[in-house]
Amino acid sequence: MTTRKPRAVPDPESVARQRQRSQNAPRNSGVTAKTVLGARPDWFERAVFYELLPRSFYDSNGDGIGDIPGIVEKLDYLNWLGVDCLWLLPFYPSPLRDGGYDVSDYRSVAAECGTVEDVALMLEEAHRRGIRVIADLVINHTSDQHPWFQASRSDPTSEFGDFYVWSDAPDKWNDVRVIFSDTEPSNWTFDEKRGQYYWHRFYHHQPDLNYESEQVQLAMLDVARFWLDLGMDGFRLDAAAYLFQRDGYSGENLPETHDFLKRMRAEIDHSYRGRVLLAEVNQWPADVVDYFGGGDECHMCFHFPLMPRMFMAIRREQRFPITEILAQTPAIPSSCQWGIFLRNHDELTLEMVTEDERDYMYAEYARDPLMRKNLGIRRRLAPLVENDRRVAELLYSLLLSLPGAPILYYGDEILMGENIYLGDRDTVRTPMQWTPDLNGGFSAADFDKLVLPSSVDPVYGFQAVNVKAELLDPSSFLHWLQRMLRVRRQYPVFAQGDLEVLPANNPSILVYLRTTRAADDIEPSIVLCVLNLSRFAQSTELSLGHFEGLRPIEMLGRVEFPMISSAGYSITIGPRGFYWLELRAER
Amino acid sequence: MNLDSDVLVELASRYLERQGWFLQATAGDKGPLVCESIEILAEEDPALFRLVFTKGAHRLQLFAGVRAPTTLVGALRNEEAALFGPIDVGGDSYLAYDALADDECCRRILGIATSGRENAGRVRPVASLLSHTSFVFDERLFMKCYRVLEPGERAESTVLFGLDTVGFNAIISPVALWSEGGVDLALIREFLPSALEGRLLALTSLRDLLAYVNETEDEAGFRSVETGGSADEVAAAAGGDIAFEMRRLGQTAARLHLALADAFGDVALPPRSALEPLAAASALWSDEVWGRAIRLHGDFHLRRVMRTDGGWIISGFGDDPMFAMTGATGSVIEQIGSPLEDVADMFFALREVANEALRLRPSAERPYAQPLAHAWTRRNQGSFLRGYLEVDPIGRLLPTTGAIRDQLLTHFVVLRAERYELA
Repeated sequence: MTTRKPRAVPDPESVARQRQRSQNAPRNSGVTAKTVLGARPDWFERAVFYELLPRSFYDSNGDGIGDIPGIVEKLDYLNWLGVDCLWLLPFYPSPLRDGGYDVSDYRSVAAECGTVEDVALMLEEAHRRGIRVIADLVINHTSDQHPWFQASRSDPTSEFGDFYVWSDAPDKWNDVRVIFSDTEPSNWTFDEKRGQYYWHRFYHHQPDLNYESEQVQLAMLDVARFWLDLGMDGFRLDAAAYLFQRDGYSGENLPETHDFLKRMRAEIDHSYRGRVLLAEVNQWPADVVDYFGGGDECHMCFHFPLMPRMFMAIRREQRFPITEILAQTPAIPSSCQWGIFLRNHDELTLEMVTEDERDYMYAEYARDPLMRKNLGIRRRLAPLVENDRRVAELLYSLLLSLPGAPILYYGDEILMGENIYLGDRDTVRTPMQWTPDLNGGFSAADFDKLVLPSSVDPVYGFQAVNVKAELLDPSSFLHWLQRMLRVRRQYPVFAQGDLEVLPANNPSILVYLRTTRAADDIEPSIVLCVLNLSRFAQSTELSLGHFEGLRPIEMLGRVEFPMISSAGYSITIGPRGFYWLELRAER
Repeated sequence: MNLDSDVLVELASRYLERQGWFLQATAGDKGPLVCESIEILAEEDPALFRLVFTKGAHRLQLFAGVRAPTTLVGALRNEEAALFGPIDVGGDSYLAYDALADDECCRRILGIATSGRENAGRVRPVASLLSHTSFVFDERLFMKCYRVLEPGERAESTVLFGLDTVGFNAIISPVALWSEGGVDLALIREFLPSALEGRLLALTSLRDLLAYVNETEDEAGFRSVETGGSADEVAAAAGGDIAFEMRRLGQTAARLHLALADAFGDVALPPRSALEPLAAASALWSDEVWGRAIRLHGDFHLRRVMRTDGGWIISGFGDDPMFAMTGATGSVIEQIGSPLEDVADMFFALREVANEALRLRPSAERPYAQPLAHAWTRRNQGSFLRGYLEVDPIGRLLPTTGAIRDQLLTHFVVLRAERYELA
């Protein structure tokens, strides 16, 4: 059962401290988006997010690279789909050795993606449509090309000398795990120029910032203010768990890390109310909940361990992988929300599973070694489920009905495929497929100039799978998903209700209740979700006696089901089927 | 409550003699049915009484309720069958009935059995078996009211509380035991709504695997395992594979055995006639090599293990057993032996569930599906044993060498096959 804790009261002293700093900080004095969406500060709890790579979404100027103006051109499509908030992957200047997560200038836009003015215009246009936008903010590390790092390695005595974590010998924190174990032998790399080793939790060209330095903390807060002043609705905080290191610790989840995130949150609460911080913390739920603080740290955190378990449950045709992790998920503050997803721009991470489970996932979903990366699987949703639409629908029905804000990954709404012959995680970052025309309608450039090759796979390529075709086909997956999002929007219980997993005497059937109480700020409602994880028809008998006299209404077709009595309630459900049943009193 | 207890006893006796469970429990016992005691548990409407009867060697417990007719309407489940009959109370006509058919009386029994620590709203009857009737309260507490009273503490409560005391938590935690004069009257333990029998999990896995033979592009026939490699390879690659669940179950079983040894002690495995053929073949082995004898679960199969959201739990320490050696009243006789006997039980159960899944397939498919079912059994037996042996220090209870261990385990498995198949 998931419940929510009461809202936390912000610490007045910390707010006052932040107010002072905020007044002293340099501001973006140029362009800003004129429209800032107001109303509910809890908008993110109900929102459907859509994650996209600007470079791969739509190329507006024919240079082969997606750009910010390209996003503007597709806002009407996203609005039609029912998206509430865009999450943009990094668009900052970068040598692009890690998909833009190696930032070389935080206050600018990569030339190929556009300008700061373009971002302001995009924010304006998105807000005009009621869509918010958050940006990836890479707070843990920079590119080794960032001027801060160049200054730091050149002159240890400069103001940037301690902006990074330097050591004379690579002998500290040797127990800290290496995350990119495929390519990095150590978390330390020697820099010839400075004659010291620098610390990096990710690639060696991504030196970690030294958050022990007050100057680093202030600099990152300034970066945040720069974009918030422009009208950005918040940030997805990349690698938020790794900001501090300390002897004897794993280098993750240190109290100092939480202190900094709370400092950033206080700034938001004071000057940018209604903006959101979404933390990327790939940890067990019991550790992740600390990133919500008492409602005074991050507004949202991803629920990483849930994701692989949805795939596991489907293939094993039994519910325990899901119910087990839900049972391990603690309550979160009432002003916070989980971010849940099926796939994203990274590998399908298997860090938060047991060794046995990882072997199983590799065997079932990544038989070709090319599909594996680090501790994960670099594939997209559709090929993972062998292009089985029923499975895709079942997974989305889970995603849209479990507690949390669902985050869709661009292209998965049309069941795009991956290209496992590309390097690193570019397998899942190929251009969006808009039409069956040249380059899938992504760009007018020559094919060779594309940021990544558009897929020409016979099954998943743009000739077969594209937005235009799916828009023309009323029974397409895209239309189905759009209808599902519409239904979900009508029932805030999906976003903000409590969860109770109900017993079912059939392991292939997953049943849970989503409920809101009259005291909540939303219409009280009860929704019963029943899912058949098996590829065969299944039946079960539910004990619903405490809902005696209520009638289940199937929510997609408004079909009445037999009334609930004190006896067991029998349900039969087709292969990979699901029901969303609203339980209503007879009028 | 002013009523004639002789009338109540008379009504209750007649009621008892109509009950199938009573007739079965006392079958062959020609002795008279005698009310040994009657105890008033509650006087206010509904009044609640506990009656103990004897019939020959058997002692039986019955709860009686008494209500005014006006309050009886809608109060009883299965109303007709539960009624004893009318009874005079202070000049008014009341009705006596089986109190376990009345939710209000069940709640009162729960309160008495837990010394007032627990109360509940919703009551759900679960099972009505020969030895007991059981209820779930508010989907969180499970109460077993014994019908047949056994001399001394029951194996179930002894084992549950013993394991609880040594901190073994892969059981459904006991909450309270209501006993009198060393005799168990009712047992209350936690109820885990998400718990699911291991057998259902196994059948789900087998369903997925055996469908392989029917998932072929060749409409004319079935898919033989050679298409996808050996049966073992196909079983290992199946999406519904539960080998790692079985490994976890094996680990839980080993922890159970260590906890049983902790709680009840262990001794050198006693020489038994059952082991003699092995001992003769291995004359050089000393007694020590056979490992230790502990108190066993004794009925360890896939209906006795439950998968919950927190992992495996083990139940059935004295439920009406299906396979185990049973006492006259249906309870498990305390069993002492090598822990490998429980392992052999599970090996046999895995084989049996595979056969059960095979029987669900159309007969034309079975020759194709059978190698897969056998491979599934081998794979999951292997995983179970692997998990079992991984737990340190389970080795201290087992034979000193792997060869003797395997031989002893095989011996127990064969014994089970002989016992159940002959039966």
